[in-house]
Amino acid sequence: MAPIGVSVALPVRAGDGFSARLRDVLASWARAFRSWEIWVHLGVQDIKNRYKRSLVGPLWIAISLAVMVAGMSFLFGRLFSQEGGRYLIYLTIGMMLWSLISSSFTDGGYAFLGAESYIRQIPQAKQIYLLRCTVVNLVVFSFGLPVFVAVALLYGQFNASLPWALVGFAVVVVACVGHSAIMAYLSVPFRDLPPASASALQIVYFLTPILYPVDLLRQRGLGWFLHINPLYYLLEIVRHPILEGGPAPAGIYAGAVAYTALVWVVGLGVAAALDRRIPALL
Amino acid sequence: MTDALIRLGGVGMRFSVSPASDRSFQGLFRGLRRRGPVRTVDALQDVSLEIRSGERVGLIGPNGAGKTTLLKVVGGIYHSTSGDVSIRGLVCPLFEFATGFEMDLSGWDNIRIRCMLLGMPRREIERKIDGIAEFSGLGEFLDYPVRAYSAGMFVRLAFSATTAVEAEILLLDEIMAAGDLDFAARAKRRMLDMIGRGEIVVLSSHVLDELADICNRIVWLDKGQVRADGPSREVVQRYREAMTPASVSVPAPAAEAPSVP
Repeated sequence: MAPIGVSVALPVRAGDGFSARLRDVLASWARAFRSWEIWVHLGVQDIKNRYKRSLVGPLWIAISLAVMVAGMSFLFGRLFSQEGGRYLIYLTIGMMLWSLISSSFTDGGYAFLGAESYIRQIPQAKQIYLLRCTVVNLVVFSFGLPVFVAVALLYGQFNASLPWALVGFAVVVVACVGHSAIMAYLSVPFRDLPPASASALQIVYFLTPILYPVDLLRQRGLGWFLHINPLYYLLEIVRHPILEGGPAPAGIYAGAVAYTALVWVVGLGVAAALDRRIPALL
Repeated sequence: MTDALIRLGGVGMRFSVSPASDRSFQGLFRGLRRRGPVRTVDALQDVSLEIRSGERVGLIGPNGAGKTTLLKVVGGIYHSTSGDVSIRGLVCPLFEFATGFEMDLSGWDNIRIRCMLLGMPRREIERKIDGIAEFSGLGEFLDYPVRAYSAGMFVRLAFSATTAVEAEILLLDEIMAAGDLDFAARAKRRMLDMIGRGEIVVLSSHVLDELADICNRIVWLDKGQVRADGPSREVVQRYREAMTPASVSVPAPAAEAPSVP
């Protein structure tokens, strides 16, 4: 069949080897981190802009989270016969982390596509555009925090484990930046990726213990699935310390860190392969 | 005086041209079975140039000659596929005027963002922003979201912000075609000011007289190669003679491809 659509011109691969291109990408990341003022500013502008004409503004994030968690804990609490308070906290943390993680994929996919007009004319490290969406997602996450604090206070789940939860959260953020990096680069040549990943995430959402307790999977003989689902580790690394107190099991840390390292290796590899072609591909 | 420098040694920019459908998932899978012949286009071919402080260089040539590609290589947007590129000095590009804005934000916010992206520190931006606003002549329009702006207003905004950056190398692509007479005159004065400070300005245009007026050197590109490089009037004269209807050279359609999104 004859090819449909316009032709695309791409720079041919230059003589430099992979390692030279990888060095360029690392230098680009370093420049992007040094220019933190730019992406923080852009991200904050995005948030301000999003709620400009809204009456209660970012409070909507907290409201919708509260309503959703309250409704779900009522329904699913009965379905999975969970005791109220503990399940409410479980659900709240799970939902908050899930929306952070899933938006690191979906928003990451549009990071470069949305910054097309900048990338095509301003010689900046491209990574600032994906860090911009990380900022947006972190701010959105933080708007949900009051709900978590309220729930935790209500059911007295505040203990000395908070530092452990924060350590876990730091790992989650690093992984999320990695997700966005992979998605940002790959979505430029493969425009089907952002919608495809959105529907894939929908499935993963139901396969990951967020709404239902972890033990339920084990009881039904699906425990093995937890071990091949990296997002389970990312959730548990934060959720476990808060619910149980103290650090999560060593296996959880190992899994989460190994996955995060893998995400970054892939992310840097993809960037090294594509970085120079991005301006022409956009 | 700064010691800005642009040195290109045998620079080539080769694109491989493939149908867009090869880049979807569909194309990826089809590609596993069948690979069509890869066509390549040399948007730039063995371009050697040296531009020093205080030079103002005009780029001329028919559409698809490689003017924009050359500017993008110098501006660090494209990585050349052969040859050596060495640039000394902070580069400030202005390539597309109606893009690169946050449409929902005001003119003020867009000035800030543009300056930040071009590397200007926050404090310097706040110090200069009133001057930038005044130069743009946009007045109260700066309070409105830029989605309400006309093409000419975008040029005013982009040019005012871009030239406020203390760049050593300013790159302008076809800027003279837009903006009204009043602004064009001020823009020209500002460019001459910058050149006076020892900075390099490289601009492309089809308005030959205007270009010859501003530039002291003109590079004529044709099919990605330097066809002539010399004093403005002389090169423009030769270009005009070559471009008279009897000998119009029709650029190969493929050569246009790199500049099309």
